[in-house]
Amino acid sequence: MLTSTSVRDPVAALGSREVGVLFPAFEKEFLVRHPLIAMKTRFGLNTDEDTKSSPQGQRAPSEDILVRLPSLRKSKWKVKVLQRWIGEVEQVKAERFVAMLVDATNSRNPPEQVELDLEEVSESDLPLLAEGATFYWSIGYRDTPGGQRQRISTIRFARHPRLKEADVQQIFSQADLLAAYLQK
Amino acid sequence: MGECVLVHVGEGDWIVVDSCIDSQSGQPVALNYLGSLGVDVASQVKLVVATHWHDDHIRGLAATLRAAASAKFVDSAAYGFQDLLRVVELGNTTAPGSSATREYADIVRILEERQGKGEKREAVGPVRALANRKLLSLTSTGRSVSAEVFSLSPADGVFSRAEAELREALSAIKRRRRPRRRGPNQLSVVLWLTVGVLNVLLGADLEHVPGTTEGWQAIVGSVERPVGRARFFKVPHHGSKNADCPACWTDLLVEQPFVILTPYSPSMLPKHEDITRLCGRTPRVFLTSDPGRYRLPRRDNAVEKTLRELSAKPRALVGQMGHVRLRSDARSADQEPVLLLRNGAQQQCA
Repeated sequence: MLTSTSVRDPVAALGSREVGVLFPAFEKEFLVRHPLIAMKTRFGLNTDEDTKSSPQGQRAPSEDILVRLPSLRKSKWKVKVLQRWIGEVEQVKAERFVAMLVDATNSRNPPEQVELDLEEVSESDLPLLAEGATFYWSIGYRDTPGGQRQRISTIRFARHPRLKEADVQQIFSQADLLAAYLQK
Repeated sequence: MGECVLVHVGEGDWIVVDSCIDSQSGQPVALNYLGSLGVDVASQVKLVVATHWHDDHIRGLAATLRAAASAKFVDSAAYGFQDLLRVVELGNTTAPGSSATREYADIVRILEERQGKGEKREAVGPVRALANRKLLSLTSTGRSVSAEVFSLSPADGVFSRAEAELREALSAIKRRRRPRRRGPNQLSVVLWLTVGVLNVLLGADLEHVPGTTEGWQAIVGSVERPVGRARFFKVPHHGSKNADCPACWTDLLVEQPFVILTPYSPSMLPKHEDITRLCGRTPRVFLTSDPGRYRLPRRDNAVEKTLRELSAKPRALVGQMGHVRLRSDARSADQEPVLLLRNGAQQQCA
């Protein structure tokens, strides 16, 4: 017998009597509202005798049903990238920045110069925005699990691990050897 | 985006000055053009010169040098070789996408291979160019036309500037930034070519700082530079005002020389007033391409809409690879050269 608050598998929760789902697109994934039959009972509208005599019909009319939401790993978010560039910041102005773009979607396209608002850069990336910095810019669509389509533009600055001084000195040593060899 | 100058110095011998990539073929323009003429690049190219290390002058240079198996490699002596290699190796390790460091790293590998095979450094390079140094002499008695190539820059006084530039480049690379162009370009290699009775002045990107012993001022004031005046002039720094040297026109060039310049669209050079100034000095001004005609590629409607909404104002930096060719008999100082303009190259003055 079901307790007043139960966790159910969403698919199993759906039966011919439980039609209270108000978002048909989510029907197979999760149930977020009271089942309609419970609502009818609550408001005295339920006249189905089978319902009254069945185990389901004898449960409290205000019973909530909690359902298990799908895990994020099974997320139905989809992203379709239409255009991607690799950019390099050339100049930073008060409210905009100028960058040179290389087309990463089609390498045959010529490089371009573009001006963008600083507001297009996320707060966490702003400290990385400087002349000579590299960023990746994508434009495309994002489809939500609910079936909504959103057009998105994402700018993300490259993050590199700091160079260790020991690595730098090793590279310098190699360069010095090469210079000496070529100049002998 | 970029420039490359090829000079036939007689008897089928060529020199290549700087390099860029043809956007259509993806190949260095020098190899494309010389290949189209049936030139045996491996034996007929005698000199490959990197006037300076800006991206628009060196893309594809390593591939060109690799093909030019008999050529000496020349670059600016202003950069200490050891310091330069440190910048190159560090840059290539940390930011392999950078054109300048990648090209120079490839060039260094080529030189290393050639020296490793026993070729002498004098024949392979790097030959470090500085003011009034002879880089090439083709004057054997069997030649119908002799040729000499001199570097007129960099001047001694700019070596400290080069050290500062390399220090700044190292600092930028350590911070994982690409080194930025700063200040007047006084380190680039200007070339003077004498082919037969004709002189050619290739101005690279050298700028003019009046009242100093740098840049064009140093060249004009030098008593050791080759004598004569040039009939053909590759205008420095894309025709910009800060590379204009009035004394050059009176001291280094013939009256109404043939003048060629290349655009640099990120800085929108040459500007209209630059063309007007050049046309005031000679009617023979030729621009390899018109940046006003560069076209952006057509993209998905959603992308175009997003760019409009962001007021991104994209601008194409490259169009078709323009070509200006001047052919002249090196035995005659007065013969009118045969002109060829291709792929959007234009004569500027009305």
